Order: sequence, then C-alpha cells, then structure tokens
Amino acid sequence: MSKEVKVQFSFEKQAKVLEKGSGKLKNYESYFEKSILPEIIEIEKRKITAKDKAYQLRVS
Amino acid sequence: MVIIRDLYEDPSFFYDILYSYVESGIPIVAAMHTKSHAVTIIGHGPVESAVSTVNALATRPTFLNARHCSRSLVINNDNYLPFQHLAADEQMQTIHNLNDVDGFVVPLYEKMYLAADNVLKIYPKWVAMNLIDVKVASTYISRVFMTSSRSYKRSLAKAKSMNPVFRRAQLDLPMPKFIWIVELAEPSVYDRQQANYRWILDATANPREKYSFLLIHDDEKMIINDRAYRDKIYEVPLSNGINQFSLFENNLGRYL
Repeated sequence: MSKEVKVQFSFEKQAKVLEKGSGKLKNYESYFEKSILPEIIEIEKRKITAKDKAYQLRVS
Repeated sequence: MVIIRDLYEDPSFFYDILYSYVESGIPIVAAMHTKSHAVTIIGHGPVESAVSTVNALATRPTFLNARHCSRSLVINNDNYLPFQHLAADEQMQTIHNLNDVDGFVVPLYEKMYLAADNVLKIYPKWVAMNLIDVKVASTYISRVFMTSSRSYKRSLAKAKSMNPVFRRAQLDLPMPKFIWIVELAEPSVYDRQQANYRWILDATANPREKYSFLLIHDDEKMIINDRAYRDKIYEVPLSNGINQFSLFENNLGRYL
C-alpha cells in the first residue's frame, strides 16, 4: 500500500506553475546571484566577527 | 545573535534591524558602549500618525521602516524603575537615547537562520525586479517582524475581512515553526491599523537561498512557494483584488 499523502491546495486549480530558471524568475535569479547574494555573504562574514567585537564592548 | 552597529555602513539600517526584533516581541539586551551600560528593550512607545511622519520627511522613500512612527522604545534599566523610555527622537528627553545603542544581543531559536537584516535587504528587491508589482506612487510603511506560524494562523482564523482566496491560501500552506512577516501599508491605511500587503518568509531558510519567501503578493496575484511538498512556485490570480486587512498585533499588544 502506498504511503504517499496526496495534498491538494485550495489555490492549485487557478494556479500556474512558474518554472525556476525561466521567464521572470530567471531575471530575478540572475539579479539575486549578481547583486543580492554577494551583499548577503559580505554581511554574514561581518557577523562572524561581531561576536569577537562584542567581547570588546564592556558593559555593566 | 550579536549585532553591532559598526557592521553596517548605514547606522539607520542597524536601528531598522533592532526594531524588527522589538516588533517581534523578543526582549533585546542593548549595549551602550559610550555609557558603559546595557538595558533590556521590551517594546516600543505609542505609534504616531504615519501620514504626519511621511509628510515631515524631506524625501519620500518607497519603503519607510515603521520605527519612524514611534518616538521611543520601552526599556528596563536596572538603575531605575522599570518601563522607562529610550528616545528615538532627539526632541524627547530621556536618560539614554537610541543613538547610544551601538550593539545588541537577541536570543533566537537555533533554527532561525534567516535574520532581520536578510529580510530587510531582500524584500525591496522583489519589487525592484518586478517579481511583484506594488504601486510605487506612494511611500509604504514597512513593518518587518518574526512570529510563530501557529500564532499567525490563529490570527488568520479571525481575519474575516481578508480576501478569502488569500486567506485560505495562507491557511493551507505548510509553514515552519517561525516565519518573518513584511507588512506594507500606505500611511493613511497604517493610521487605520491596517495593511495593503503582507508577505511571508521562512525564518528557517538559508539566507543564501533565492526563494526564502513562502507567499508574496500584489493587488492582482499571489506568488506561493510550496517548500514543504513539491518545491514548486505557483502564481495564483487574485481576481477580486486584495482588501486592506488588520495589522498583525499578536506580538506586542497596543494599548494606545
């Protein structure tokens, strides 16, 4: 007996599937790779140093 | 998570991040290096008129962080009685002010990988890249906060004025334990404690993922990311448009 649970969302009948890597998602994906991701990576790198900097903040 | 003001080129962005965690109802330990002191931020002061706030601006950004509509944060300072105010506005006289805060610690569940700064950076890009078509004629007050999907879905059950297709889609969609919400409201709508748009992101998503959102929408369509079952992205028309709906207020109660 198959244990697969078939899920049907209420919106699926009217929905159109947007293929990743094509159409308007392609533009967004390439923008994400070129502009957003480098910025996120840079911030993540800086956050790693935040803990070290936090030790320098002397609070009472 | 430790966030330090020096990490960001724009100090204003640091305060936007801080406000997102305050709006999430998470107590924050705020460090004031120059004062050699720390306080706990537990909420924000009364919400001022968004229309007046926007009208007072010299320039009109597309998105204005909701923190600008509140002149203070509510703190517990162990040197004084509880529920003091921390002025976010230079005209307000308080013992400390927001500019004194140069770092903060926010306690997060270990699976909350997507941080406030990631959300604040990415959501304007969905509009800029025409993934969704928000009317950009107006300045939108943007309110970004985290909540549990359980609390959120409970609020949806009461949101009778919301477009039923939009509401049902959110109730149907499997969500992780924690989600980020971006609420956008035109100033006059915000003053009625309502929003025009509400976008939902997976707080457990990797910040490097292209599609960390679960549901975004404009006036004509929703884009839904089914991350749980099929890993598919759907575009669903909203034939009757989107009605304005009440702001989510389960995180911090409003008494004024």
